[in-house]
Amino acid sequence: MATVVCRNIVKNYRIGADIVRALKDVNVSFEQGEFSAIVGPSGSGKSTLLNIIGCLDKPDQGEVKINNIIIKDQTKKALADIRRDHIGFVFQTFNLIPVLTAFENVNFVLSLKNSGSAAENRGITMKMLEEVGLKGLEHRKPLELSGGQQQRVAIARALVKEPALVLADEPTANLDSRTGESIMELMMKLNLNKRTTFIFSTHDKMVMEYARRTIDLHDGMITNDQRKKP
Amino acid sequence: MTQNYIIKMAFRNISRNRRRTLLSIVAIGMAVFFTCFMKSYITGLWSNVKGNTFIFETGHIKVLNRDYLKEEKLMPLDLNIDGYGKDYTEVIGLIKNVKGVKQIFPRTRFGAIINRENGMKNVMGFAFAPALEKPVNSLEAKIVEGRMFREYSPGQHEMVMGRAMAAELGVKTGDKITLMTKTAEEGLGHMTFRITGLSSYGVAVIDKSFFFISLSTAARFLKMENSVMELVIFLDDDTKSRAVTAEINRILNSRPGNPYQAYSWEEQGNGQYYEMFVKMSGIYNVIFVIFLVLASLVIVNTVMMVIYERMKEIGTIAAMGMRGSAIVRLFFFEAVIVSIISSFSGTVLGGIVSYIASRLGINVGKLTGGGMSIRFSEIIYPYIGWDLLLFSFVFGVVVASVCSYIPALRAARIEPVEALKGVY
Ligand SMILES: Nc1ncnc2c1ncn2[C@@H]1O[C@H](COP(=O)(O)OP(=O)(O)O)[C@@H](O)[C@H]1O
Ligand SMILES: [Mg+2]
Repeated sequence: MATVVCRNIVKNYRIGADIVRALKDVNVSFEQGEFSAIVGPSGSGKSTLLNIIGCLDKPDQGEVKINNIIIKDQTKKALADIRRDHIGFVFQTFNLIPVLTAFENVNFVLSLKNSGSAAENRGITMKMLEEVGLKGLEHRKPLELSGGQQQRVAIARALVKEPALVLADEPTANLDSRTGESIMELMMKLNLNKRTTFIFSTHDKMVMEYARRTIDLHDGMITNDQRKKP
Repeated sequence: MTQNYIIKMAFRNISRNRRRTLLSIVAIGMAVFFTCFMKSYITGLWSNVKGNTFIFETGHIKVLNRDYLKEEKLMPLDLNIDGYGKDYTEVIGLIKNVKGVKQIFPRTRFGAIINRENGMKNVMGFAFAPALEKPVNSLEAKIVEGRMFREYSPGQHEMVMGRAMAAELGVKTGDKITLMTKTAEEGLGHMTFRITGLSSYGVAVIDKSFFFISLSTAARFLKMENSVMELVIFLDDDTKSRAVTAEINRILNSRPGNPYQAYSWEEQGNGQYYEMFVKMSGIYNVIFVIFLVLASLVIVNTVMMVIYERMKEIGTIAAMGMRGSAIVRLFFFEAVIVSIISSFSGTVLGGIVSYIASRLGINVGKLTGGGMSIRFSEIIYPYIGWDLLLFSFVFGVVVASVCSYIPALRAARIEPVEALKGVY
């Protein structure tokens, strides 16, 4: 079963009198457990596509399905609930809540779901932080962590709720290459352990190497879609 | 559980940008402080003017000879209250048991003239029963020099005079002074008084032009035995004056040929006193609205500023799946905490200043110039009370909360994609 189905996605931006055609009829699906990279130069439409898949933005035309839920004509509230229940995000700039500790940043996401007892959620959070290699740092605030550590917290935050899908928009772009590699290794490990679907965007050769599927995006169109042989 | 995080984040966000938080606290706190102090001052002023007006002019209700008002300017002493054949106490007897009536004071106020080398001076005689009026209006307590006057007996005509008037006339305690007046019999009367004491009420009009004598002395001077000009009534509750007035008039008019009528303080002087009080509360409302607008602007601006600053965070928590309503709560809660702290500080400060001012008093003698017809006392004692403090605090919290709710609502309307870009 496909986790994500995108059919005939069109997205235009209007800047004054000009229309920027950010996505032109994009068709793509992602199977459960896939580890895919959307690759393309800056301005090719990667973020736009990920935002639409992530229910943060709406396409002008076409249809998106996540876990068989049709993301169309959903209310704002319903979209928030879909994101909460099915989608984890990892951002280029980490985007941790600065007033919360590493532990709280991760635990907060569980509290939004209102499932599980507080004690259970604490246990899940600690286990998740351990999995991303942050044991002992859980009481630090984001500013007391390095970039790589912050991105690990962000990955823990995205995965702690066991979403169907994790979206990572250029997750290593703000990290040095060695830290970037360790982040990619972490994501790959989690993908294998949990069979969570990962979609990340990048224009970095090194990062592409990790992907088992590479989708080339050029001027809002998919020009190539290739799976690595196992 | 989300609520726990909302509270936690709200509290921590407050200490995030300390300078700005302090700025909002100072701004809202100042508005609350001024609101509190202004209300304290105006309430004090208001009750002072009201009190003076009640004591010297209107009472809560006044009973007069109905025809007196037609010629009020001439102060016709023949249009007085002399009962129904015997004396004025008959009228007091009729109405003293009306529900709500606390005290009835017989009084005669009259005009008199003092002859001086450089012309005549018009003064105001105030004849009353000091022992009876003591709980409401104690002249004895206002005597700053000498002693009280005594009742009339042949050869003993005593008066207490306003200190400012004595200074103007160049007389002192123990001196004798001759006054002229038009009597109730339309003739010209004169009497020589000994000044036994000087009084100071701290009300310019009173201290400059009033002298005080006993009713028995006035009866002789004005040739009006058995009668007084007015019965001044004080009630348990001055807001009930209209209803009690109606009841008194019903009783009075049940006497055939009754010439007397009661007037509530609201209707006396063609409603000018009432109008004055309404105007005074109006002045306060204007000041109040100015502070309200100022405080609101600060609050709306601060909350907007906070929202713009945290745009990326709004986008992030929205991406995490936090609903708009929870995002509103997050900002609203933060603003409410700040407004509680601010209002509390403002109220405490306002309370302290108002308390001190209510003890020491504020001398407004120079401000009013002394020539006002409104009966300001020279020293105003601002009002202080728990109701005032509670009002200021609740006012601050409510206004600040309402003002922060509106921009907080905006935070929820922002599209997550836009918010994540950090610009909006
Ligand atoms: N909010 C927007 N308003 C106008 N144009 C936009 C907006 N977002 C993206 N674009 C345009 O859409 C195109 C695709 O952008 P984007 O998806 O951000 O590309 P990428 O992530 O691959 O760099 C670019 O030309 C960009 O300028
Ligand atoms: Mg991008």
